[in-house]
Amino acid sequence: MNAAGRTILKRLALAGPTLLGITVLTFAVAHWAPGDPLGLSEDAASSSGLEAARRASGIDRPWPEQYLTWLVHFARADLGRSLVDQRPVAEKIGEALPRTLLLSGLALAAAWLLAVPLGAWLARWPTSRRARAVSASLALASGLPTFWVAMLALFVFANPRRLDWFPFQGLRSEGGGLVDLAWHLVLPVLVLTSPTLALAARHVEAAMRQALSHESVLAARARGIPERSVVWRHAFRNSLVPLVTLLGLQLPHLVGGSVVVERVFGIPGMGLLAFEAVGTRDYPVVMAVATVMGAVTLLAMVLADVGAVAADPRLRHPEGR
Amino acid sequence: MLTRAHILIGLVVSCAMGCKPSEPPKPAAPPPPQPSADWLAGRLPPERAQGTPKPGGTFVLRVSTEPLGLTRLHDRQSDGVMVRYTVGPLYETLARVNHVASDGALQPLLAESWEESADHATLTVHLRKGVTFHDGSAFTARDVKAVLGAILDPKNPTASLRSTLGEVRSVEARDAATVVVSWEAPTFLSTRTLLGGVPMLPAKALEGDFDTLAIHRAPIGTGPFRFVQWKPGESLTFARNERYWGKKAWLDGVSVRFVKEEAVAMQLWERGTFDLMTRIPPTVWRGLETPSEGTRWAIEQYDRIAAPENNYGWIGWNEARPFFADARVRRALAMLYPAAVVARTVDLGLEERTTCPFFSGSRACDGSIQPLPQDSAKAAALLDEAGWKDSNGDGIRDRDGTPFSFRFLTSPHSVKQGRVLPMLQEELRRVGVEMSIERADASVYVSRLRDHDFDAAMLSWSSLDAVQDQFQVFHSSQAKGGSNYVSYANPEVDALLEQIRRTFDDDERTRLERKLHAALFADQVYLFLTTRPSLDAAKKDVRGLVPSPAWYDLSAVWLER
Repeated sequence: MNAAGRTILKRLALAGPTLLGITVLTFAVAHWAPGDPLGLSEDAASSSGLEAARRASGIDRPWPEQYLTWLVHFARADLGRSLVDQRPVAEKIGEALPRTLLLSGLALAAAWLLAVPLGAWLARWPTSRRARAVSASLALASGLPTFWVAMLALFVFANPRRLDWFPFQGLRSEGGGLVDLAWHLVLPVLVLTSPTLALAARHVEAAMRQALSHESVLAARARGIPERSVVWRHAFRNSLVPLVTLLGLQLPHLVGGSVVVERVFGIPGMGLLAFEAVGTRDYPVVMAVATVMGAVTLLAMVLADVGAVAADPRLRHPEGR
Repeated sequence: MLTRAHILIGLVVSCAMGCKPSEPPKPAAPPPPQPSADWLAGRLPPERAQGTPKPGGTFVLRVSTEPLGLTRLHDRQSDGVMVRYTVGPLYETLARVNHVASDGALQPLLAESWEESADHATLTVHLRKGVTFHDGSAFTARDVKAVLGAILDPKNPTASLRSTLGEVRSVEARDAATVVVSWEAPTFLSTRTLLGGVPMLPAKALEGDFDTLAIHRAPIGTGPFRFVQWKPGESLTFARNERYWGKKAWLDGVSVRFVKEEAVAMQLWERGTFDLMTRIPPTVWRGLETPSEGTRWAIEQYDRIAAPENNYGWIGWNEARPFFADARVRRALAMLYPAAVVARTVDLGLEERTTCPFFSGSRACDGSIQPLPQDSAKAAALLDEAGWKDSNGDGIRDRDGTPFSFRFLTSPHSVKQGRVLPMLQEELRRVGVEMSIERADASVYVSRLRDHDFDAAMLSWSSLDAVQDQFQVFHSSQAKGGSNYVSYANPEVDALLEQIRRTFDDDERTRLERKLHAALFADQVYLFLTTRPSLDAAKKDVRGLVPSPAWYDLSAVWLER
């Protein structure tokens, strides 16, 4: 096995203990934060039953003990029940995760499909007026608050008094099919895409600019290789490593979701689930979301390593350099 | 030079300002409609209750919160909003509380009749025969016994109903249609809670661990609507119960939409998505009153309803703190509250000032008691009298070396507090009282109130029933485990609260309740603030809506479409 393979194996082997560490930290931080999930109600009469409820749910015990109980259940693939509404956590994740995967997956794919040609074009013609205008728009897109962009999108494109082109809320109309689903997805995916697109395009631009200034590109041009081939075969391949790393860093967004987009477009996914669970100190849900996020982040890191090795043959034999 | 990208940006921005698809020129629009007097006052016009009812249609309403479950019995699920749209449509109680009538009398519902023993310790209930649950099973005395058993089981999170029911000695199902309940020490609310406050569920749905019962998310009741579906984060759907024992509902179904985001709810409302829009913010409510093209939709398509609610806001001063133990200080602080400015600039004239812990306008309130006028000179004199003077000239009053400097605990979610507290802070500063504002996360806020870990706080109490017991809020024993967050203790008030609980004669109890109101006001246990209506709006083709403190009776609603 080569060095790169060993590195990846080592990463995989370390992922287990790292994930365990993530769960310990999340559990501790969640429990150290003041407040608890059962103390939220200000109903005049509920306080007398509070202590009994705390005992019944086990949240009155020391947190290391609670953590171990959670870990044993987790090992048996039992995520427990929400302390707030008593529903199985797996069921809540099962509802939220597919929606988030769909939204974020489409947004990430759209962002990168656009970012690569756009970034390459910007790197190729950095001083043109058009490129400067596009750069300015990208800076604007990455800086605008998502809530504002989402509300503006609804106000302009889903408003009977303006452009009533897209549905206003949710993922589906009653009895709608795939086309209906796609129609519902347009605005939220667009809103989610813009900041990722801006970031990715700037990275592509930077990586490509560096690659294009390399001597090998000059040599290729000197040999009379067509420009398209120079850009894509020579320069782009050489700029892949940092891009694969960035993509790896963005993969966890696939399951993290966006609180703002989910709330504004009425598509309750992982973002809202996590947000509300943290706000209500719903430990089992917080733990499940953190574990899923942690696992995906670790997996993405390994994938980024594999991707980097695939993109750059030199990394397969680091000792030979 | 303009590039294509510049033009694109310009287009997006100008679209945001108001671009429309190109259309052939239309004739000039008629001038914007003028709102009627009823519309401005938030009253439904009388003709909305008239006409021949007809079946059909789904009634869509907006609520701002999603419940944790749909069981009124469960302490943590039972929020006032959820109870409003489930008890009545889905679940029924033994008797119906007539919320529209001022006396809130009980009328037969699942019980045909009932008798109370002379000492009020035993209640015999005769159940209506031929009533079935939505799952087809018959409603019998066994179900009543099971529901009461679940509430009275101390292991269950049902303390809220348990405490208002009082100490039940036994529940006996004498036959399929007769239940006999007896109490150790009945209170005036015991039978009322049992008859009018406990929704009936099938006994077999209550078997198993109470916290995880399936019925919490898929209710089975006897009401005119049956539960169809709960889409988490989206909506609840009910359909007409075709086998309903009484007069069937006109509506085919009801869809309760959970829309938390205010801006989104407003846009959905404007699109006509809701037949009933609830909880309209005061600024939006007032903003719709000026006739213009922007408000045409609301004036033409909707009726506004300022629905009465049984609630009141208050500021509590923690009497365990040295500053607030003296009633003169609490009185002085009340005289510094900028009530008029708050009413004008924050409440926008939509709330009503109150001094009473009972339903505003109820017989239990002593109508002669008026709020203390804002008067900083008198307030300063009262503070001097209580020994709080600026002895060291630093601009802050002090007593025995302690400066009058306290922290007002607030929740970051309260828009109203965010605006009112800085005004109060300024008024207090002028007389030498230093108030800082401390924000606490929602999950910590209530625990801190319960643990008396605060100096001052602003909150509101609400109740669905106009007949109320104030024991839990003001009795000194309730400082521990109850809702006496301010640690109020007055032996005379304690005795009065105990006496009220044991008084079954309505007139005599009203007399005692007025005395209680006067005593609480004299002590300034709270700075009583205002009663807030629910600001709602219904489509103009909705008929039969009758606002009451306990919400609308959906079984009487029909759509004129």
